[in-house]
Amino acid sequence: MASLRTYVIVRTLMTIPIVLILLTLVFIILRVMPGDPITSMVGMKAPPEYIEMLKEKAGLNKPLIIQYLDYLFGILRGDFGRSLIWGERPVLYEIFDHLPATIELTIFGFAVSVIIGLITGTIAGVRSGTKTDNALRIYSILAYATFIPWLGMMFQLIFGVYLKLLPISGRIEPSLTIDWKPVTGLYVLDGILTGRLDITIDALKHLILPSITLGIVLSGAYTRLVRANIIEVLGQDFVRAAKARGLSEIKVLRHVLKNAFIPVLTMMGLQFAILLTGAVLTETTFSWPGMGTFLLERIKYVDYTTIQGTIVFFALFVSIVNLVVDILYALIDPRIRY
Amino acid sequence: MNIVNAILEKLKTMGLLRNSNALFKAGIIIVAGIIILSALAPLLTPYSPIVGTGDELAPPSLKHPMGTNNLGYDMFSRVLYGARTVLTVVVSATLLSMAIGVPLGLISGYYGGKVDRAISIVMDSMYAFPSLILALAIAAVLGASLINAIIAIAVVYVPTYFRMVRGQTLSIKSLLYVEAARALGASDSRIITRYVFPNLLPTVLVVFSMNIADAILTEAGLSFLGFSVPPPTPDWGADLRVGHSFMLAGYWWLVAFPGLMIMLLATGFALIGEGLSDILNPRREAVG
Amino acid sequence: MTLLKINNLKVYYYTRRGIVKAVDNVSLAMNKGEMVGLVGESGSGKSTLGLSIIRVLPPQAKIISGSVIFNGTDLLKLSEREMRKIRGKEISMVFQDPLTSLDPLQKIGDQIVETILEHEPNISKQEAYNMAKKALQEVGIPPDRIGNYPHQLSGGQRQRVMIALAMVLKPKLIIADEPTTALDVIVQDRIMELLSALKKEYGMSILFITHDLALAAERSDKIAVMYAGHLYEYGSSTDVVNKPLHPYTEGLIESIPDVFMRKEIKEIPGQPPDLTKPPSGCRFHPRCPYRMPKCSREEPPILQVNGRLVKCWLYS
Ligand SMILES: Nc1ncnc2c1ncn2[C@@H]1O[C@H](COP(=O)(O)OP(=O)(O)OP(=O)(O)O)[C@@H](O)[C@H]1O
Ligand SMILES: [Mg+2]
Repeated sequence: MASLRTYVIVRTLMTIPIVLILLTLVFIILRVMPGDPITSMVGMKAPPEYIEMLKEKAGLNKPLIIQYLDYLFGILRGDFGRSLIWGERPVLYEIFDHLPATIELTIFGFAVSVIIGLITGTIAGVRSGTKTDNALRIYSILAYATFIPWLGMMFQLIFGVYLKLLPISGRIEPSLTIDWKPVTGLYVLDGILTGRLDITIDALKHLILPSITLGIVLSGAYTRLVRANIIEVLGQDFVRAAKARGLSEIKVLRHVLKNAFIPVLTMMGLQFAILLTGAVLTETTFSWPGMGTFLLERIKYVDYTTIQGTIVFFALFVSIVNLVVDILYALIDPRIRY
Repeated sequence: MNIVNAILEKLKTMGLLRNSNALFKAGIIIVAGIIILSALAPLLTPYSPIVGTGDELAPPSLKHPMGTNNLGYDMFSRVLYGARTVLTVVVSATLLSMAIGVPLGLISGYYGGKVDRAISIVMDSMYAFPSLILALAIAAVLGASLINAIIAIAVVYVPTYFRMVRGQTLSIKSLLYVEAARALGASDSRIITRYVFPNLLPTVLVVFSMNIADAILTEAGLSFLGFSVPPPTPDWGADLRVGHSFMLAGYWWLVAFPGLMIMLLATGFALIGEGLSDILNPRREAVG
Repeated sequence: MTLLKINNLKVYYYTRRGIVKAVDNVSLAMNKGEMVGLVGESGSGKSTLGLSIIRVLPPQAKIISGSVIFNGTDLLKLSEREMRKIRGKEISMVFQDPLTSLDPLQKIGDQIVETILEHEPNISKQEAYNMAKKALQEVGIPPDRIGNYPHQLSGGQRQRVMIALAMVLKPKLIIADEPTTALDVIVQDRIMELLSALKKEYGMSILFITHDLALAAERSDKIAVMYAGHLYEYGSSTDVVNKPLHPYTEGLIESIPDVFMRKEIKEIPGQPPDLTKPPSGCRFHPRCPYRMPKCSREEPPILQVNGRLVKCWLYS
């Protein structure tokens, strides 16, 4: 397995330039692009002294190159700056306050999308060319073209407003958490860890609509991806050879699925970016207190350092997830580690 | 004119209309339908999308087929005029991305080398970044306006064109007859205009229509979050944001129709893209 | 003793371009312990015939009529379930491309064990492992490679693994579809040696599909010649090679390159036909040097000539 280690090291090193580029990109967007972020966020009518004060606090009055270096080295030290409005709280702390909510939502949304995608994609692939396949193809297009907030609102309308079955906003019923301290911030898990199953159940209830909304919209991409892979693998010689050896259909399908799933895994890194985009919209629709709502709220308050820190954090997050996915891929596919 | 002729020739050999399939037709009908309806908006509705009718939160009726909103604006009118806003933003943005991404990809793929590697890694990094958050950051810095929304969306999609064009250019460049032309001393510009560009065209068309579908959703996302056209400009995403709290009180028509329109228009373009790619690579062999 | 008897088999592919009559009214019998070389140009329907025997055809293929009598039972009448018991256990198959015929994600040993357990549920996993090791050893793969993934083996080694998979349950018939085409000449020879050894050692019958008549003649007891979906000649290897009856067989022999350059190489003029619209009468007539007016009108019957089968008007 020494070769696997080399792969991991090389792949990790390759992440460094990508991260640097993303950080620079964020810097360029926030500081170098024409237009003055603080002014455009506060609005033209704000008193100039106030704008000056904000700029001063955010370090925007220094020469660009100094700003850039301060920014890079700050991030290197793990210093994402301090909030301009919230009592100068380190931005990283605030991010960690909101991150678990987003992670919980994305995990569940992701699970829903992968389950739907695997089932529909496998059926479409195995039955390719039939009516079922065509119907699932239309499904995947429609799912992809659905606007997340709209689907979320329709669910809120049906299950919340009319049927009154499920909560339509937030992560948890506030009265449940009065004398309760979360452990990880993932409420479903924390409820179990602290022996408060009522919290786990309530958190799950709150998760249902948002994660199904997010999951359905993202599932379309998996449906077609899995379908394409299944068809490709079904056409490969080893499938015919496995049949010719007398393996049962289930066993042959197992060979097919395993091989079809690996390329899906490589796509998951890129899919993660789409997942986050979807999460921002889902959070806003369901008042879910995650990173998306947090970022938008701070944009409204012109908390410049927090905005920058959050976007930088997104960049790092995406790069790390991509790295992890690639390493996972190497672990699963023996052909990668030569 | 060399390039125009080459493209025309290519389009002819592609036989788009002759081979068009159900998906492509359905997509064209949806998109053309929405364009025509929005163009004819003044004839179809007597109401302005930005003037109150005095009738607030009225449910759908013969007078207001999609009801009115909290300010008494006619939703049907807003939906029709909203199509104009969305199409303006989205088509301008994607054309802009294409105008930047295609030449960059061509140059990068055709000439290769260090510049190629540098551009590629920047584009790949951008591509990996969540598109809406990127657009949001740009729009937030620039301020909410039609032009800024166009810029924000355009930036997001440059890597899509770049990556596709670069990959295609690499493979077209290595085609035998292109290599032969090169060996015979054809100039780079001749090879690009005569061989590479026309061969790129089919894929660019597919990506373009898929990309519009995606951009419609990104535009809707931006305006839903409050970073596209300022009110009271009619815009579907913005109407969803405004209508949300009213919907929770039961006034569903404030959001149902704009949201359906987003889905319909995005579906239309996605269908065109799907249909096109079926026509251009007819790989699905008929069975049975 | 007859092991396999194919009678009037018709297998068509239904495609966009039309119906491809890939195997059209082919009859062929094979004895126990015999190696039969099935030769013919590319597209003549050899693989289709081979795949029809164990019924693993692609979905667009349909067996129209005929029977495949194996050991007294008609395989075409068996249910899918019963057929599965035959595949890999009674009849197994070795495919052309060893690089793609193994599941890339599963260790070779596990693929062999999986096959054994599918057919012999009473065997313990440990026993199955030992059987797999023994099979690998028999085909010349060091048994300690049992934990390797396919990509860790060379092409020739992978084909050996395929053969180990095919023979591990001691089937009565192995269908080897161009088992050596993807390999270089030296490896090719060793693989053929291995197949011959299996035949001798276990009395297995082997249907050896190839487009290389010389290779088939060297190893097989009998040779069957296919052209455009029809079987044109069938007889013992020495007879067929030394005194071909059918003009097509003759053409094939003349087109074999001779290492000593003792003779001129003569290609058969023309191209094999498009099987969606095969020529009328004898399908070979457009390319046949002995063509008679009758040939384009009527399909010749299969005739028995000197203990050989031949489908040609010259002998009626
Ligand atoms: N999956 C398929 N779909 C449609 N037609 C097919 C398919 N497979 C084979 N054919 C057609 O059936 C005919 C016989 O093909 P087959 O593969 O049996 O020939 P072959 O003798 O094995 O040729 P080769 O030496 O190239 O392997 C050919 O005309 C081929 O085009
Ligand atoms: Mg073949």
